[in-house]
Amino acid sequence: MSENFELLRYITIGQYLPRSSPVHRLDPAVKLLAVTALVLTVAFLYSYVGTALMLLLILGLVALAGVPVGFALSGLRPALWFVAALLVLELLFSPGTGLTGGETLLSWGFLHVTAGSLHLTLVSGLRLVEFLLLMSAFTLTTRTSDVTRAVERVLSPLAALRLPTREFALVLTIALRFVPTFALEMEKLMKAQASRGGGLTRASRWNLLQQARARVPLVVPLFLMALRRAEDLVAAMESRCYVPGRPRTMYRRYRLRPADFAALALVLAVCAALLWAPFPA
Amino acid sequence: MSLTTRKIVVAAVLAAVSILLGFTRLGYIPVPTVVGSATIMGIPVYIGAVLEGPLVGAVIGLIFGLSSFLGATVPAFKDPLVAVLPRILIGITPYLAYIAVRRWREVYAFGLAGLVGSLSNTVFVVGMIIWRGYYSFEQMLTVIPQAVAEAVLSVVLTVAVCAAWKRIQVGRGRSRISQGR
Repeated sequence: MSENFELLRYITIGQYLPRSSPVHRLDPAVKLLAVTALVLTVAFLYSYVGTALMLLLILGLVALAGVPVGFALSGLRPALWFVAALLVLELLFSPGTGLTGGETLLSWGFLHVTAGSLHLTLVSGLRLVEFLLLMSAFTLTTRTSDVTRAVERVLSPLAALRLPTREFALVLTIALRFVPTFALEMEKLMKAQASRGGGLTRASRWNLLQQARARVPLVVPLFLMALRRAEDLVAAMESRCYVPGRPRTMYRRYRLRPADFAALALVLAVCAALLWAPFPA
Repeated sequence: MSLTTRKIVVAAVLAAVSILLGFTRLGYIPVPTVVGSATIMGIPVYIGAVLEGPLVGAVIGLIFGLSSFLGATVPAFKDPLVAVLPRILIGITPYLAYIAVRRWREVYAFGLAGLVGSLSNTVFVVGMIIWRGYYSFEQMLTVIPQAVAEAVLSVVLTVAVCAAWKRIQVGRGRSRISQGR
């Protein structure tokens, strides 16, 4: 059977490498803010020089965190051919207007490579690597429970605007907690279907109708199972007197140290510098 | 809009399904177009909007957008304005469609919600892609077959899940024990 039942392998959320690097020791909320700033900077940086500098910076961060670079990039391995093919397609078929304008470098029939499309493709490829490294550096140095608390603490100023930030952080916590559980349930469903002669193996890859029909008996039970678990969880929470919006205390307290402020200030300064520096386009 | 435990938990659970579909093969149906596949990760958003309201829909949409943004291999989706912002809206439009039609036949309301949600997803995201300059309007026309496939799937799955769920809620005279979990 050629079908891959091991869905859990693809769920790398929540992996934590217990080390004792400077990055591990930083406050999780500070790390979250820093990562957000870096991610947004990567998303809006467009020049060759800026993107390359950012890559060096991120590689330095990954090394500082004690995370092996190969491990951090391992999430890319299954998708590598797909990504490469997509980038090549984008390179060849871009419209030649807007972002992808500029002088035409190569031309062959209706395929053309412009300076603009080359730029977009290279920067997109680099961005992908940078995102992956950043996310890996963050998740591998921060425990999942710390991450969700960090989200809550970072969003807490918004609570002054009567926005339900703690409840949103709770939504994230519960969602992340359930992803591996549902992955296991999904494996069970897929194996049950396959053992009865149905399932994704029987649907030929490019036949849309077969693919769609194969998914229906997998996806509908997944939803219903999820909703049933939701019912159970609601009952459990309410029976333990959980009331949304009421003040709650937490077991773990976080204290910010000078190193945290310094690290955050440094990251923000670097991001600002990279975004506003007049690099050649 | 009251914030109940149920809304929080349903939002979380459907967001988890969306994340799961996004990171495994299940969520993607291979279609030979520019962006590669028809997706079903939006469907938890539409179902959440129908079952628990626009706030829940918007929250699931936001988390769907974030997981799409963070996990995307397609360069256009590495832009938060393309991946995240439109997805918040696709949690609201199905709710509007649902409440508009549910007076007549609730099943049709489910279907319309799925359809509207899927079309909103396509229109808003593609609109953002074009507006941000990643592809042109002509190139985006190639996603029409994929958009149609997604719309059909959304209708079928939204109706299937919501109808099954609501009937379980109303009860068919069977105790939970006999449903055999």
